Amino acid sequence: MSLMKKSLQNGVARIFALPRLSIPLILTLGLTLGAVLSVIAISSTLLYQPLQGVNNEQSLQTFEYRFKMSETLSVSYWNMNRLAAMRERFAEMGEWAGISPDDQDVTINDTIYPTTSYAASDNILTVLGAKLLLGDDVTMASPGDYIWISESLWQSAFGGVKSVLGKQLTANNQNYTIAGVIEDVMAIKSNQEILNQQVWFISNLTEVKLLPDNVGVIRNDIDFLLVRSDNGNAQLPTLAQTDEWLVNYITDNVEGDNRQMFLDFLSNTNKEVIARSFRSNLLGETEGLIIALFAAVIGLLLMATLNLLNIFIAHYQSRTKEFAIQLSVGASLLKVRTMVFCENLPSFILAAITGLLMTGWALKSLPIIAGDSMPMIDAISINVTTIAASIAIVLMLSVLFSALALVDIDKKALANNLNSSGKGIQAQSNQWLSRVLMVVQLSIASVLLTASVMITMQSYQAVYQDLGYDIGNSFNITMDIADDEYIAQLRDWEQYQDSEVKTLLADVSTLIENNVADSNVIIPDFAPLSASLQVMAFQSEESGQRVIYQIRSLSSKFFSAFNMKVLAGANLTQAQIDNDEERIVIDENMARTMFPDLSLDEVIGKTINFGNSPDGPPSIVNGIVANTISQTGIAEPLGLPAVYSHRINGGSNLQFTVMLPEGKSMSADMFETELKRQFPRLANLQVRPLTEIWLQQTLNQRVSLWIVLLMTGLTLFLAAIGVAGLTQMTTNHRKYELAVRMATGAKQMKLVNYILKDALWMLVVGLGLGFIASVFTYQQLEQQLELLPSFNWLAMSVLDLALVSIVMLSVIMPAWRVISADPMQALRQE
Amino acid sequence: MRKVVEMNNIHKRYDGQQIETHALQGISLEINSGEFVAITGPSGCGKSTLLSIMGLMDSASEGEYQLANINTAGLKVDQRTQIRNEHIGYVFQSFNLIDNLTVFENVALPLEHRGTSNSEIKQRVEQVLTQVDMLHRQNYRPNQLSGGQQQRIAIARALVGKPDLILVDEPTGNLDSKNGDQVMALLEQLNKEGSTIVMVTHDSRYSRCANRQIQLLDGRIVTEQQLKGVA
Repeated sequence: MSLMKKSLQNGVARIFALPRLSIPLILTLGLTLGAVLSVIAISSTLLYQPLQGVNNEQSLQTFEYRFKMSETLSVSYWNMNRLAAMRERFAEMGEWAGISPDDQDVTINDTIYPTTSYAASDNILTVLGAKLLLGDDVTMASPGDYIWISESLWQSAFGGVKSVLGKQLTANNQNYTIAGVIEDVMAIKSNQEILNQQVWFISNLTEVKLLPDNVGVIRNDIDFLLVRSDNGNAQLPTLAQTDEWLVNYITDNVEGDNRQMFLDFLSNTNKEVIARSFRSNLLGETEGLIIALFAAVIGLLLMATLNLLNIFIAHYQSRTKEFAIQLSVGASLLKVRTMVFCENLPSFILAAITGLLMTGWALKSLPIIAGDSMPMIDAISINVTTIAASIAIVLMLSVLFSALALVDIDKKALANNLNSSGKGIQAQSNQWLSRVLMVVQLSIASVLLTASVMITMQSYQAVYQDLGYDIGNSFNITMDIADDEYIAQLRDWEQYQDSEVKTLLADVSTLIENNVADSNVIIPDFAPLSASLQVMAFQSEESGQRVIYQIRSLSSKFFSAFNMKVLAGANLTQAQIDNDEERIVIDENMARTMFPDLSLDEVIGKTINFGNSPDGPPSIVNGIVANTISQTGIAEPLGLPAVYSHRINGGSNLQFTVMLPEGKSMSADMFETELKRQFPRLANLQVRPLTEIWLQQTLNQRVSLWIVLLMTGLTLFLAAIGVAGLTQMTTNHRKYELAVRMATGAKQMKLVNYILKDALWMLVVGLGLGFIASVFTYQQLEQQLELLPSFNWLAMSVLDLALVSIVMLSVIMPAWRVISADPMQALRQE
Repeated sequence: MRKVVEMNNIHKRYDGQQIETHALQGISLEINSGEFVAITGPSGCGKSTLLSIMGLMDSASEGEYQLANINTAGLKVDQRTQIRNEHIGYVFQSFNLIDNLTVFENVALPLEHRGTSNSEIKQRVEQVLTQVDMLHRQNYRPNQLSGGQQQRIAIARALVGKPDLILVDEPTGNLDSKNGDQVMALLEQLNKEGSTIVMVTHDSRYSRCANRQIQLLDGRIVTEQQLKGVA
């Protein structure tokens, strides 16, 4: 049998015969490869895979124009009317289009299909390059009564028959005629998952342009505009150009006093334009995340490699004589290295297989981990790139590890190795290399752990922060008002006191309380924890400053039910609400913003003039409550002052917050039939506990918390087994020296101290370098990645303390094992 | 007669932290094909160093060395390895057999590295194992053998490549007198069959088995004595 074949066989046998070498290799490299390959699979898909349904990617750019309400909240200004105007003004730059995805249930032949709905401009197919498979083009005149469906919906709901054209489907209680079938378009930026069952609502921009637009409303109708140019690299409008367009747009669309008011508001609010490539827009924050993950896993891989290198170097040191013999009988350096390569290969292949299995498992868990926040999530899988990367990494490492096999051999003086007894100091002639590797490893661990701990703390604080209220056993009930006429009727604010919306809310509340035992409708609107946010602005008469605030609703039992602190004054009584008094409750933030020089008690009774808006709330401050956080799971709260009004707006949907006694639960079934009977114009009833909303809002942060904790654990594990492995091997090699020391009177504890002292400098240098690198690298990363929190010295100190403890333990435990196993035996051998 | 070893003014120095050790101080010698040369001298006189340089396991600090008419100066590591493989068989005092290989595999190593065909390896290994009377142990591992048997395997490994020169470092140092005698008898037999042998020993009983004896002291040749004629 050839030596190479024999080496391969040895390698297979070694997996079982040398578990101290093979298990750390397979586990460490397997786990790390799992992390690296997962990131490679994600990034290769997200960065390079063709986008399904978007065939013009190379010529596409996106353009955002956002109003920054606060440091953490910005809202897009775009809707179809504004797109139509923009398209005309900047036509020379390319073809402008708009698309906005949303979740939409549609009914076809009495079956409900969950779909992604696209509200898009009539030039969308030309701009995206998506194919119309069947039927009329979306450019048809008056497309409002028609709907286009995706290929997948066509297949699943209609079996792919051509006679689908002209058939009806129902969405939002309205019937639409199917005008065509479009290929599945999956690559559109969205906060929700993009389903392959899709419906398209098309707006004819020429017709839209003739319709009035309420220019003062900014509500993210379309998140970004698309621009298709010849080379995909058009010089898109600057902020100044877009601002200038906005002024003209307002001037053209508003008359009278409102014009100046809107101009003041819009021009005095911070704005930003963001122009980028289509893919960059699609990836959004994921792009930064990929870079961060890449940095992290490469750090981990580096750590794992150094770690294993140390173990292997120690292993090779124990085989120095064997290699020297091979060389002495005529094996070339290359041949010995190739033999070592063959010997290592089976373990490395097993590590690669473990890595791929880990990757498969991680990618399978990705939808659970990343939720809807990652684009193209369904397309991410172990692909050719991933497999090629795993082979390349494993081969590279195998070659590197084999190359180092002869590091301890004096090739020009083989006699040194051949005549050495293998005892004492000579056995570790290259110990400096192991130590340098260990120092580098500790430094990397320090850098990685710094970032991990900072992100962990940020995620923990975001998830478990004090919201300013107790959720209790509360439930959120939502229902849609489908027809526009009814919505308009409910919005008649001039008639609020006896308005239909007030009656409707009261009647539905009574219906809920009558049908759900022990239920108490706290407010016919949002709870303090809610995904919805209504932001308004006005100019303060006192200071002249522009105040952007969130408008929320109150009821007489709202604050007490959620245990929200009233800091001054009082909530409105039921009588005050019934009388529709011009009174509000504000939060502390609003009080400080409006009346910075007054105490909270002095603010009570003051008046706030919210301007002439007909939607403006009443204005005498009746009470001040503590600040609350309405959307949890985000690192920086929105920080907008809040105004609580008893006047509850009727929009396209209604919300009710219901409290039940502890341990009780409710569901839609309990009152859905009665609701349909009494209020047939209300649809799509949904009931969710607030705890579920909290879980959903905090999902990303909780997942990030666990991922980072896992990464932290893996880093600590790598550092620990690296140090332990090195100590075990070096202590083993120093058995003879230790035995001599023991023979001359050293006690076991003294030997442990001796080894510990020896390891201490590694720790000091490693952590010292790591500390400097951490601070420096973190500051650089912080500038590049917005998602990183600011540096926390306390966390850093705790982390270093933990690392020191782990390293100390990793030194003491294996050293003690060797020392307590009678090193004197070494003296008796040979 | 063909010259196998030609050394001229060989020096070897080891640099310590503060003191320099001058292990060999101008050794010049020639060894012809078929000779059996014993290098003797007290501990630390430079015997093993001289053998290591002769076997290209170490290099001289100064001087010229030609092995089988090949000038060894300035050779790269792999060139030295190849010369060792083709021209030298080395027998170590502590045998230096690889524990996880069988006797057969240990002996076959030089031929494996030379790229010899499997059938030829089998034939040649069996031949040398027969020569050292160890064929019946070919599937054993070194740690299953006695010291004398291990030394015979080491000699077989040195013989298997039909080298121009067999270098033997204290072949009896780790053996009892019975095993030591057997190994020396084997070396004598090999020399009679035509092998050129250079042996380092400090045992005067065994040095007398050689044709020529070179005595070293403090890194220098102090006496050179022809004991008997070359066969």
